Amino acid sequence: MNLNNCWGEPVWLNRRAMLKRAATGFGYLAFAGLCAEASQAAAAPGSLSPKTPHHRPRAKRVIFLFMHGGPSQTDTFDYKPRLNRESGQPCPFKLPTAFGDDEKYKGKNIPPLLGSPWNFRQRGAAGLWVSDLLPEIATCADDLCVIRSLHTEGQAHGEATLRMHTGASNLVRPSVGSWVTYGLGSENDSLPGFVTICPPRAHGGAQNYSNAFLPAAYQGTAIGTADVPITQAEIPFAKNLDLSYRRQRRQVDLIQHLNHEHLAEARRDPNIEGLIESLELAFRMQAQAPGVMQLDDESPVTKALYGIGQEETDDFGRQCLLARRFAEAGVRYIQVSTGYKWDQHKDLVPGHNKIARATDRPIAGLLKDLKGRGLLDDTLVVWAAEFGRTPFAEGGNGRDHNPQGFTVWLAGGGVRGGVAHGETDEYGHRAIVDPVHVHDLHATVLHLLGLDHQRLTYRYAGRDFRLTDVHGEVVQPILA
Amino acid sequence: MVCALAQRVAQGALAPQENPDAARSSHPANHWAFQPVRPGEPPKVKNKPWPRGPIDRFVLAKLEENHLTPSREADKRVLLRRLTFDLTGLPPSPGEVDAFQRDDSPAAVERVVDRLLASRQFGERWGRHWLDVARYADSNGSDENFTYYDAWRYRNYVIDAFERDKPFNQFVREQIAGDLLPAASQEQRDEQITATGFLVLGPKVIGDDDKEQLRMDVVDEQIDTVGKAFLGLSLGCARCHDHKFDPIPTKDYYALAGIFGSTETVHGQLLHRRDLSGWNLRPLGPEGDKLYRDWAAYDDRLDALKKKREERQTEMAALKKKMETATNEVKTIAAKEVAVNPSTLPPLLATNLTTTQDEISKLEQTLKSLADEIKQLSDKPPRKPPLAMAVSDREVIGDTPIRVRGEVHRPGAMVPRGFVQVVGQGAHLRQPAQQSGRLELAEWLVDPANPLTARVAANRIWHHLFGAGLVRSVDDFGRQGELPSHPELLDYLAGRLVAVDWSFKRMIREIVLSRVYQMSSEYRADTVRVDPENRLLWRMNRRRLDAEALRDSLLAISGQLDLSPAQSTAAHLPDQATGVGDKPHKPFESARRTVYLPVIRNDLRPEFVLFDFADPQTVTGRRNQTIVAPQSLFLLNSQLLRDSGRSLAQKLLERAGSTDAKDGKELARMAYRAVLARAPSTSELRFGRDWLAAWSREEDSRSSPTAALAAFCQALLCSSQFLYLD
Repeated sequence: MNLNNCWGEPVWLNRRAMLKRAATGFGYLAFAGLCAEASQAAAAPGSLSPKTPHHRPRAKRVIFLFMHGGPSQTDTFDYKPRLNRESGQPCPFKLPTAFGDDEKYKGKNIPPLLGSPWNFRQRGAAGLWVSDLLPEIATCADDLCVIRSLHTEGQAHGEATLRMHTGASNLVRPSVGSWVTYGLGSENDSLPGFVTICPPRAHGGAQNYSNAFLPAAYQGTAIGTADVPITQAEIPFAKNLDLSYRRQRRQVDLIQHLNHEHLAEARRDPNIEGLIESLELAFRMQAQAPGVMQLDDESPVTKALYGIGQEETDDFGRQCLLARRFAEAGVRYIQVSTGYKWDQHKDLVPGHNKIARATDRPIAGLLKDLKGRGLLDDTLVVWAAEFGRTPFAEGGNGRDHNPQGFTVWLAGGGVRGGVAHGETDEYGHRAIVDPVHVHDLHATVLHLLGLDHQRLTYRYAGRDFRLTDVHGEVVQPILA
Repeated sequence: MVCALAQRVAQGALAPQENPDAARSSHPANHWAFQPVRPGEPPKVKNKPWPRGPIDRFVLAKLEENHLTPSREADKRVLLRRLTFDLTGLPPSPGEVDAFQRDDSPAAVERVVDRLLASRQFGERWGRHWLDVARYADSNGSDENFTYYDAWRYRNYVIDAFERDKPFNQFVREQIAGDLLPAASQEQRDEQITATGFLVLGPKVIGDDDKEQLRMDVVDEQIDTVGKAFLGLSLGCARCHDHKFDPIPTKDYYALAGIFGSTETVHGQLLHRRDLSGWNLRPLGPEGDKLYRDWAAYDDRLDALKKKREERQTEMAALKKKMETATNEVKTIAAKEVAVNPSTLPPLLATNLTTTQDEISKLEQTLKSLADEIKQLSDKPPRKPPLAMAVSDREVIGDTPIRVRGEVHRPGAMVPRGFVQVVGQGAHLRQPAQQSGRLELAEWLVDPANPLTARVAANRIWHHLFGAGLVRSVDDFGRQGELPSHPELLDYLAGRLVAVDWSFKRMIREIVLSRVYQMSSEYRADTVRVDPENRLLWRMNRRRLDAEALRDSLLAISGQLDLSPAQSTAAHLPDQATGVGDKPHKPFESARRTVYLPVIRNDLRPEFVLFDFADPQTVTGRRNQTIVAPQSLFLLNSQLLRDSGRSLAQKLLERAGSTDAKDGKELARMAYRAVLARAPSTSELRFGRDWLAAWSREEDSRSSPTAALAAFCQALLCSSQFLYLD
């Protein structure tokens, strides 16, 4: 096995040797081992140590796949024969006020309906409808729990994106991942508890993974950024460009010598003691964490499963594989984002085809890989966007934003597979049967993790805050 | 990430002076903070020689009550470092340390304090404290992160105000209603208008399609900011229902909402897009208004022309397509027939061809003249006057109704504009106000009868000098906030602030010259047992350098800091500071002080994020003090630290001259003096020399004396001795 540590020195080790050196810490396996150890050990002091949930959890961690831009529900999972039949005919329904105010539609007729250009088929044993746009995910249909009745506020990307990630838009609130790590802590002590891979810089940017008023330990750590290849991403500041391991150890020893001198003079000080500990921890992290980022030790079969090595799918495949590695290492909340690629106001077919091809195999690969490793049982995978798209055409062959009704799916960690929950109207415009608000989705995700969204509170500025504010209901029928 | 080591000593707090449950259960209006400020006589103390003034007597009396004694005086070096960082955010230079050590006169400390208070660096340090409260940022953040190109004028206004010691009551007036205040000169007018940037700087959901919602959300943000910044109250809670804990009914909220609703903050459009709202900008300078009008007319005209061109281009594309179809048809006919002449073509097709060709030629003409016009216009843009983010009164001024459950489109009863009823006196706006009421609000805030403004301000000063306020919840004086540890001292300070004409400099001077401030931070086991959190102030708190002090002193010590002030540092950013498809910007590189670096919401510099910089989304009177491993990663590996170590090493080697370069002891001595503002002990010197020698013995590319010294210097810069103020 060929592992490089963060100083770029190759480390040839068998498992035995690796375990022997685990104390100084090299590479990914040792790291994973340590994490397992850490998760079994008694809760260490500090706010990221594992905490007891409110009730028996069905999932231990979340992988949130963010489809930035908004895929069309009626072209993916929400099969609407009537819409397809009446394609090209005048739009039979009125637009909500927000749309009505829009200059685009003011004083003009609403554009005609646009049927789906993709064929739908029933898939798997349960016969879930999935279109030909996502043939690979379709093969996992029996693991999917499709919610076709999601709805939210925010006709624009920024507002809706912030709501999907934090439950609010006009107020700065902690993100879902921050709440989850606050509620559960982390299962390892050498990696962040909450990572977000290639997050978007627009539409709220870092606010979408910010801890807001929660303690800094719950801040999401960004690995890379949207529109930059994942191969260029790294864990921030985990690499020293000047010094070898030995030399840096010597430097750290000098710092610790100075710190201990200071502590001796101060006699007792939790700040200096904290600094001493955190420096050691950082040094250990930087030896171990970069190993997670290296995919070299993955088999060709695994890589192929994610579409790594094929031009179209390579980048997103790497992101998904990285998500699995983080999951395996005990990271609590992992987000992967597609980049702002789903927003087809015109040219729906080429646009959706392109981003679907880039993500379909990697996502299916992730589901299969998690399943194969027994990780899907306690990992909740969520596929969601800020909103969906209109059943009527925009610009002749595109679709506009549609927060009134859209589709997300969940898989693994305690949800029923091969199930569709809720319905939109016959055109796929508005959630009408068992509508699920974004707050409800958040309540459900917390529930699956063993957290009661009404009890997971944090006192700030004299008030108890929660992710779902005063809203949210767990979507009971989808629980396994 | 990873094991945040808890800051606050969790050993259990000393019981405060009043029983909080008892205090809280009484009638809300009886809450201590709403009572008038009553500065009393400083109490009598047993240890008579110890106090230098009233502050010391208040603190000592409470210590004696609890059978505790104050700590000894801090060493001179420790005191100088403390003073210099607290007043300027910078370290003392080795020369300043020497001079202070040599000065044995009783007035030595006073001289240092007066020197520091008079410096520009004082304004930068204390201005930054206020910028935390003002949630200052150079971009909108929120849903669409547009750049605030003009915010820097407010930032510099604040720095100037602290440097010149503008009376705090005037400072408050100008930020709330500077545009409505009389001005003796253009300069004063511009300054006062700039001050109202305070109300405009907040994050706004500018892409909200419901513009009334947007307007009320901005009003809410203003009420929340004003409440926390000046009154220490969370007024925002009363938007949807009467405040749960404090006696602030929804009525009061909408009384204030009427004032800010009569104020123009959201204004116009961005990028000429209807969906994106802009914010109010006001021109400065003698001809500002006219210049701005001309510029706006020009900008509109240019935009109209561009839109027209776009439309014509679309038409052109359609025509060309039509032409192509027609031509193809001709080709098809041509393929069938031997010769094509117009007379043999179907009449409709022939007409089509000719008329389309005509239309294309005509459009080409139009497009060309449009292009010329656009070029002419954009070649000679009129002069744009300097602009400030600032408010105006709206054209339509009036009260606003309560919104049922906070829902913008559900108006309830009208509420006359006014203030918070439970605070101070005269809580109604005297009618008829032909203005928004901001001026009256400002006067109400700084009225000596208002017990909160002076208390909150005095407590903020104390917080910055001791690392904890007398009321530790500095932005919350409500019933959910903490009780003051020394209520009488707080009232003394609040009264004093008014008495010294709201001068921050005089207040700070009085506090730092007290014995309380000058105590050592040393650990005393017996006293820690009684008062682990140092609520009674038996010693000075040990404090970590904040993000700005850290970066500034790294640059200062390594000889890279440029002390000249800066104007705009956001001009290089695109319209959207972070936007769709944009790659991460390289952090803005500058050797200026950190207060001048751009503060981009949702894209803060890593050293800001890691070292607990104030979250610019909201009022931050008290920053967090976390210890997390990523901070250590930054210290070990970031370019800032590595460069600082290297630059300092080079500087020291140059100064040492070639002969001494190999004398590790001398280099270690210089490094200690530069970084820690002290000379090392003999054993430290030996240790340093040996460490450097050992580093150089190991042969690789990093064994040069510079590399060894750089690693040594960086280690000093990463040590707790440097990162903390004793």
